[in-house]
Amino acid sequence: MNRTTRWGRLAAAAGAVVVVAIGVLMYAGSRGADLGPVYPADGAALREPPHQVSLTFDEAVQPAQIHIGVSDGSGHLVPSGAPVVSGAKIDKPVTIQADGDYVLAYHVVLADGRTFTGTNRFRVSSSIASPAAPADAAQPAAGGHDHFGSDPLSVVLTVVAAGSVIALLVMLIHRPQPRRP
Amino acid sequence: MATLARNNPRSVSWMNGAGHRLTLGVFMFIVLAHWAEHLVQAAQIWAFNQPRPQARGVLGQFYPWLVSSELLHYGYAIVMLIGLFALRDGFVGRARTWWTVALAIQFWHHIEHLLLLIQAQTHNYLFGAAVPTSILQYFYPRVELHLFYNTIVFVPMVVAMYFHLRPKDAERELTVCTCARELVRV
Repeated sequence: MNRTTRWGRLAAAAGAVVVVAIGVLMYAGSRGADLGPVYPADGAALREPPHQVSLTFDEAVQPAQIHIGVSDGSGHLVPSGAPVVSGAKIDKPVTIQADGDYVLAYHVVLADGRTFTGTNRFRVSSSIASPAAPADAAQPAAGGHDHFGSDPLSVVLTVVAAGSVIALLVMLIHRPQPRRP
Repeated sequence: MATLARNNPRSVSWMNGAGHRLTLGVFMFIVLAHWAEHLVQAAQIWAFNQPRPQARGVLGQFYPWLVSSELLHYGYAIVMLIGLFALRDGFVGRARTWWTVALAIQFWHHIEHLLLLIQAQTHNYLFGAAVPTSILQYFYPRVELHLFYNTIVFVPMVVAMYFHLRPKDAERELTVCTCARELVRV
């Protein structure tokens, strides 16, 4: 077996393992709804207090139990209303009137028995400078995939990436012609 | 003027030989499409001031689940890994070095995404977090971690492409594919 064949077989075997693994995970993941973004996201810094907190699933849900609470820095629950289930989303009105650190805690049991629990810590601060970059998703929520933070590093990384994309496009557009056989 | 196209043919697969130009082009299309989505997302957030939950790129506007699917992002990571691995033999010299750097970084990035996917499926999260968490986030708790990963994989890829499309004569002699321009000697 030469080197190329050996690497080819290894690559094929690795590919097969990955395909099977993805299939198993997809099967496992097809059992029911999964929790998506939670608002406010963990680590979020909000310029204005949220009027409600929310859990968003990837499909419509029928919760059997919903326990959602927001507590302030001293551990006291802030005033809140009844949770509202709307398709894939659970909203709960909250009344937050002061700047500070807060903890959103949730415990939801779906009709199929699946349970989702977690806590998101967020900060409300009217002194946050940039209204153009609200930090309501400064951290990726469960299953979320927001790459773009609000600090200069994100801007730098995006600029580097955009520059690289342009460079690659220029290279490909002005691509050399194939060599003659 | 004479046109020389001499090679010292190495034993490589079709994908890294006659088919390298085509397969590399397809791979680059996938990579650029992914970046286009993220750059549109960045523009929506920073240029158009859209709320982040609504800044979902192009496809995400029509298929919002795409943005929140760890499986999709793992799928992209594995496509990147397979592409970098499978197409590596077509690169020689400096291009191969830079391509290998990208492959090594992407290997670790893929491990991180695999862990995220497993956490998302099992709801057991690393470090006691409430959400799927990357290993590096333990040391570097920043939201742009995967933007950083994607960028540091992409930059050496672009450098590799530059050297691959414009090789030195010595590198061209070792190249089997047709990606680089004709070797023209006067």
